[in-house]
Amino acid sequence: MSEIITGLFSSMFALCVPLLIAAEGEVFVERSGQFNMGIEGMMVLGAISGFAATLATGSTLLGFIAGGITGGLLAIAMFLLIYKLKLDLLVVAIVFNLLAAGVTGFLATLFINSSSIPVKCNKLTDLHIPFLSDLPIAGPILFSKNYMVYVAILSVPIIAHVLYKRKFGLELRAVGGNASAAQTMGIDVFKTRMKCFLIGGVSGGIAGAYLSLTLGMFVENMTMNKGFIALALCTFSKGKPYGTLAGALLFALADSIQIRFQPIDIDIPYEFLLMLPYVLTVVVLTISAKRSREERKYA
Amino acid sequence: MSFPRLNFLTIDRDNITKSLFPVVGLLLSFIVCGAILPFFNINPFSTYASIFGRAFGTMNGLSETIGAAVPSVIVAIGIVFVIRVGIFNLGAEGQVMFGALGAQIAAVAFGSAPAPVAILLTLLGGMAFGAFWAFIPAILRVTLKVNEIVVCIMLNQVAIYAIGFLVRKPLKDPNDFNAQAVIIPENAWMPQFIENTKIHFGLAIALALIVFIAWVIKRTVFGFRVNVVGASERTAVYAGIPAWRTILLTFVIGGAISGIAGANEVMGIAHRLQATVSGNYGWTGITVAMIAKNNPFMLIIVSVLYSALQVGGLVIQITQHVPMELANIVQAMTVLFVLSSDFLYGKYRQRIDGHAGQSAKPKGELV
Amino acid sequence: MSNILELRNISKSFGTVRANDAISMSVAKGHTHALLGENGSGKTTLMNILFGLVKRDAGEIFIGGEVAEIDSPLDAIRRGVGMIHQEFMLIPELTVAENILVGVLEKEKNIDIKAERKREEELAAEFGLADKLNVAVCRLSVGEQQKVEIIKTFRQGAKIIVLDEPTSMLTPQESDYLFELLNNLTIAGATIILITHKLEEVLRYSDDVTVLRQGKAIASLESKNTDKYELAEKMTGREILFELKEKNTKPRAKRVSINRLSLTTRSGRHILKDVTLDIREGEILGIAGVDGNGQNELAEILAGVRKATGGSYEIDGVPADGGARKLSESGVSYIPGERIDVGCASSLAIASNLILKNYDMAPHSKHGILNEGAIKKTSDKLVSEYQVKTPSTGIPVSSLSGGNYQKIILARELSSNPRFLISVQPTRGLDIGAVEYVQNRLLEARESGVSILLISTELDEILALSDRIAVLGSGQIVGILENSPNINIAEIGLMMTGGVQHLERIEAGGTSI
Repeated sequence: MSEIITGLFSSMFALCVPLLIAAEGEVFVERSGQFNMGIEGMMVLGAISGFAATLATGSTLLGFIAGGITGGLLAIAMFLLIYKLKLDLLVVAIVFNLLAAGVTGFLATLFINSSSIPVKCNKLTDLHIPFLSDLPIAGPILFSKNYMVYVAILSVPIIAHVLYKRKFGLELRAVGGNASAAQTMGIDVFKTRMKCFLIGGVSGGIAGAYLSLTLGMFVENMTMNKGFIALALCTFSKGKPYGTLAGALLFALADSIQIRFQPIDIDIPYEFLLMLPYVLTVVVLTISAKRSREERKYA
Repeated sequence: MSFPRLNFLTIDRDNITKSLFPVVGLLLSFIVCGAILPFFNINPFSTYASIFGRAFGTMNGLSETIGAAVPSVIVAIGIVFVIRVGIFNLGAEGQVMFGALGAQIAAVAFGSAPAPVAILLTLLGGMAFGAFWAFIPAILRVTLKVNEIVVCIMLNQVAIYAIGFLVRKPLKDPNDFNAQAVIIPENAWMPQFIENTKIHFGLAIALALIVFIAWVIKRTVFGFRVNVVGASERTAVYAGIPAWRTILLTFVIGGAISGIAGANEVMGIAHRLQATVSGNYGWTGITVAMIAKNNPFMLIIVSVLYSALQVGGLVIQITQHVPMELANIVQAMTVLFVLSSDFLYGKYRQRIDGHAGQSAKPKGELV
Repeated sequence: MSNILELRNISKSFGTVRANDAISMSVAKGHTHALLGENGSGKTTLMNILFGLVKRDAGEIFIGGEVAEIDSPLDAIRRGVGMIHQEFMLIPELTVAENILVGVLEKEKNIDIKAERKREEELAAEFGLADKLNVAVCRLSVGEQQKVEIIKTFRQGAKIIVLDEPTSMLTPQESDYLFELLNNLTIAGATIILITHKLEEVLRYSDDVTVLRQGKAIASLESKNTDKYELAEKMTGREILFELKEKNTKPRAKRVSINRLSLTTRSGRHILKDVTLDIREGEILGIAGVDGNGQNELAEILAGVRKATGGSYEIDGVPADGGARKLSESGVSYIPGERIDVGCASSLAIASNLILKNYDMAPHSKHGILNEGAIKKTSDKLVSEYQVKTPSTGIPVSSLSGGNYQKIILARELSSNPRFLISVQPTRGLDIGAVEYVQNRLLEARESGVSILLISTELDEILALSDRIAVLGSGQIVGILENSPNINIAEIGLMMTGGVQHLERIEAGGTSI
């Protein structure tokens, strides 16, 4: 029994990473009053570029950097189209998501899946910290993860600090609160928004890279609309860093349960287990909306 | 005279110029992609020739193209309709799948009825299921202001798994080792216009839908309400027009229309429910709607062009080892170019006509 | 007296509209300089140029004798210019302290946060906001928010403070306090520029005044050497007669009966409490009161857009319940305070907006299908009757000017021959020609027997048009007075501020009702 629980929580920390990174990046986006609908595109581009970079160099670190860069570039392109060409955010996001899916599918078919043997790259490996990793229960759960898990979780307090205690955080919250007021206070709204959107894009790219680098493979459509789940998480916690962390862990736990139970197939068809995160997201959004409504009533 | 809001069926100078945009956009996409393909050792000319040769050159290809264009047009018209009320129905993919499911179930249940009745009931089944799948995001949006975009996308994913499961287990044809449903009774099959092709009665349904929806938007009381709510929800509330009811109804109708597209697939092409039933028609329909907007002729033309790409794309993957995703890339890029041309055209008109569109600032100051 | 600010030949066009046409203006140091003009005269644009929110097309700005290149608010702030807008530029979710801090952080590169905090505390204490420093701005009252704005501007080191219509949301007493404050600031060396369209304010509080009309600087005068007639003439280009409009003296029957109407939120806040009023046939009842005292909610309830939590209301003896549409059909018309995208849907055609409340009735439609011919007939008729300048009724209503936009709403609401008309801020933001038109139409409606409830924050308007005046304070009716040429304005002002206390005084000792 304790093995099952250990396994469950152990995978929880491993699985929460992509959601967490994407959602924490989205914190910057949403707190500055924006909404990154293009996150799927950024993630899938991040996944393939991360894979490609790691394949070429053997280093997962370079893979993450490549993922972050591609995600960031897509974010800048989207941002400029929306703010300079004044195109509709939603439409641009849809187009970019489709474009990203198409491009990555194209490249995947050409280079990766062309032969019968799938191409693989270096995977992320679990670290082994002397002494800490050998602790019972806590060892495998907390201390034997790949380095990205630690980076992701430790980024949360840093993000919280920047958001609440630093000038940039104050500026972006001002822009998110009342952009015209922020402008009259001297803040460069355009630049602030762009920086936040960029952070969202880079995070999305890194999150995507994580997906391919844990598997060591790239599969078409491997993001499976998880990017939108990250968006929902962030909205649910109202853009609060720690709340988002909690949400990501919760979802990861659900995912973890679903994976453990899949091979067993206790009369629950695997498709229903796969559906779980998406249904859960709808539930989460509903609860979130209900709460907002309650709050508005008391205003 | 042209009203209420955007000119749907009237033709004026602006419309004609604007309807060229999709074609221009498509050409630009071809050029851009064509410039990049050689870097992958792909010959753009032979690729494009293959695509269009396949799509329009042979009878078989033409039938495939039209067969694929029909559901795209249907979905597109549904999207256009729902946009009038201010909602972007991104759940089309899932609604198409559910529509196919509904058609499968209804066909099997009512297949023994005489053909016209069976067809009608099957279509209704598709509409009902499609409407249901749209009802979920609609009711959440209308009662709780939940972001319908994310819900739609989530439900698309759920639909894929649900249909996948259903054709794998409960609805699976026992005599087939492929995961697909039983073949529906022939009475529920769409009559074919041309034998042995994919050109069937669905084409008539698609055209009829275009005319019908255009009429509803422009000429009916319900359409008037849709336009008001879409223009400004607050105005609708002020005027006593039931905003949430209108949005809900329109959204659900949009789902029913997507459902028709799904039913169309089951009844006219595959004659059975399959996991791949949606064939990306949801997304194709959405992109078509984004480009053609309110112009019914462009809706048809762009759908045909996009389907040609889709159909041709399948072929080039096999014969020339060019990934079929090229079609998707061209489609998405076209939207980008069309949107940008809208923007550039707007600027151009500003320069030429002099006025920045007399935007009233009833609040007083010109700031 | 040196000029701290000089604007020379400032010009700015938006498309073909010349918002500022070679305007030159000199402001002396330590003075309160009023910038007077009607809506649309260009005064806010001019100041937005000074503050860096808008880029000028031509002209120069001199601050303290030196050329100033101002391309952004930050430039303006660094040059010592501060601006307090009509709609407060504060971040609602952030605290008072954070709002002030943001402004300072942008201006100065390195700040000692602790020292800054101390300075803020001192300033807040001076303004009476010491205990509100860590409260989110959205929880403050309007007057308190304005104080935060002033502190913020002050802390940014503004030497030239521009205020855009600062008294539009204040009671007379709060306005007096504000001007006292501004006077203290000028004594301390600041220069005030006051954007206003209120002649009284110019005459009472300013040293100099520059009058703008249609984008041009018409005159620059010393306030003590002019009077309201001259100012009005310069402002509008014609003679304005300040007289009370004709009043209806015939007593008529009671028509609208509002009984103890209440609106309470779930948390117990009373937005409206026991509002009891009646309006006779052919009478205009004006409701005076500063925005935020429940006027909008009252209007919405009476129009059927919102539901009351208590009380009732009748028209001609019949209970008026039901939604907006039902009430509209039973003779209630509503001109909402917000014009754009409430009163009309901006992107819809003019014709569509004109039939917004009867699109589904004959002759405009039959069996659910619209009759385009009938609709065109109705719209053409209304457009000509109300003198709306437009090439066609098929174009979006957003292409109309403010006055014409309002005329569409007026046309729609009056043409249905209502028994009861609710009109909120009907002339806000309109130029004088449009204001006169709207007010005349209201008076005409009164003559033909319509009961009119007029809600306006412009006391002048209420005084000019109403037969009786009620004051709404904190959701309650504080008092109702008969209007007359020698009505006591101070008393009304007191009622507007005193609110509940005044009500209690009336009930105890009695005043005019």
